Amino acid sequence: MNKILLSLCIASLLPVTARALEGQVSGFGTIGAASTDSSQAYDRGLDKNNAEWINDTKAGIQADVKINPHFSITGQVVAKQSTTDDDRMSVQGEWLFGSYALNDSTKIRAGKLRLPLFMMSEQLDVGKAYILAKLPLEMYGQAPTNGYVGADLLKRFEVGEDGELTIQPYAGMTRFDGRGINPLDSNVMFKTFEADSVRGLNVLFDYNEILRLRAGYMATKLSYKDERSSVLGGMIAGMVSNVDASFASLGAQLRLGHTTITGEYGQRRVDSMMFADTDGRYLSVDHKLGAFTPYLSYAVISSDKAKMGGMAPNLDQSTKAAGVVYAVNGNSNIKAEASQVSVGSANNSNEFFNNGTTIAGKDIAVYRLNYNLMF
Amino acid sequence: MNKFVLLSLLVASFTAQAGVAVIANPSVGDGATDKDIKKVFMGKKSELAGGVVTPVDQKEGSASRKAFYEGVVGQTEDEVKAYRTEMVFTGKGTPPKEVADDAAVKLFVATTPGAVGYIDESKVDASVKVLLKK
Repeated sequence: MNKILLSLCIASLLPVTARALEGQVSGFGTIGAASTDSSQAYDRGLDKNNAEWINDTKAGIQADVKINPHFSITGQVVAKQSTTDDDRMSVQGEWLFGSYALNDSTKIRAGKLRLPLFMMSEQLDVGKAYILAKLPLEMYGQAPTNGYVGADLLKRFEVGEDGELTIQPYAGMTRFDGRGINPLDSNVMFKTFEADSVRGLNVLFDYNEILRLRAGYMATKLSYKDERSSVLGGMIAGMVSNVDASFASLGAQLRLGHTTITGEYGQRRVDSMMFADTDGRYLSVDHKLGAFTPYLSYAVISSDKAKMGGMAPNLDQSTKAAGVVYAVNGNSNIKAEASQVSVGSANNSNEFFNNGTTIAGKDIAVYRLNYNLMF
Repeated sequence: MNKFVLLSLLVASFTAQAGVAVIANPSVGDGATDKDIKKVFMGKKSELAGGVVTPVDQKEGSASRKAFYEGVVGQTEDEVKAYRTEMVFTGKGTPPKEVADDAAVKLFVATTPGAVGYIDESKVDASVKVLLKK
């Protein structure tokens, strides 16, 4: 795939070597603090002992270079919570792709791209680009990674006077750091997995900036790629070797004047005892009142309790959130949110909590305050 | 002196009330509609009459820019800015090149094949072609 990208770059550069390239550098960032009333670490490290900065704070920079009217290259790096350590930040290359527009309605992209699994997939790191202080973990937490290396095709069709349909098939592969709890010492551990032969389809329908509907399906083969010399490594390798995994999702967003209603549903299936088969969904409503946009959201995740004879982990929780966004200016805003996470009695997964079994059947409060900007 | 000031104000007032003209390099084909122009400036269309076009914008705050976006695109400058920022950070494209004012747009459009811009209609001359007026 990298060879294809390189070939596209070289082919497009050759005829324009004498001409100045057009470029643009843009940036975004979030300074965010979050805390909970629980001593049980939640959502990668939040607990009641202090305001956690690493969880929500991010800074990104993006460069877009237009080689000619058809071909452009986009790169984006983001400093954010490390994928291999809850307590530190790292700089991660999120995007590096070449985009070739065959015509007005057809575009091919290749390189490192964002997996289009959710309504907000492409702006996940850009807090200013969505309303909620934090995208619901019950929905967005189902995907262990959001990037892949591969290619997609974006084909647009006009539907009537004001409608637009976008069909986006894609294929590639990805490696990611799966986070879990080591059963031998109860510490957080990160293990490398590979999702091979990723293939998917994303379909988006926009109507006159009032209605957006999306549906997506992604299938892959998942394998453990870390050390397997230890007892634990050997066990994981035995459970996750070329297993089928899929993610299906639906989303809708309706704008009625100053009110926006957004809902998404996602279904994760992994043919392994190590992962819960989950169903996540949320609904949010926000209403713009001048510079303020108050909002409410409700998110739920549940799982198949009978999977693998009841041996697989279970995720079972819901979150009610209320927040407000204050628009400082066109480029920045401040968001404050209070939420209550209700952990169901069947929850025994370590995906969201460091040790789910100890907090099953309890409620915890989570508070977030963040400042978001783009430039 | 007072007469000169009064005359200047009248001229300025008259100028400010003039409409906006969407102009193009003579190489651009005819037949563009409001909707086509909106799509070109919002990054959803890169061709007009079968040829590739290059939109050029004016700096924020210019009277022509305000008139163009409110009259042709149907959005306020803030709405356009929010849309374009999202467009950039979702990897869907980049905003048009920006130049200083009507004169700079006219020069760019007149000398760049495929260029499309907008200027105060009172500034139009034979170096560019008018696609539509608002």
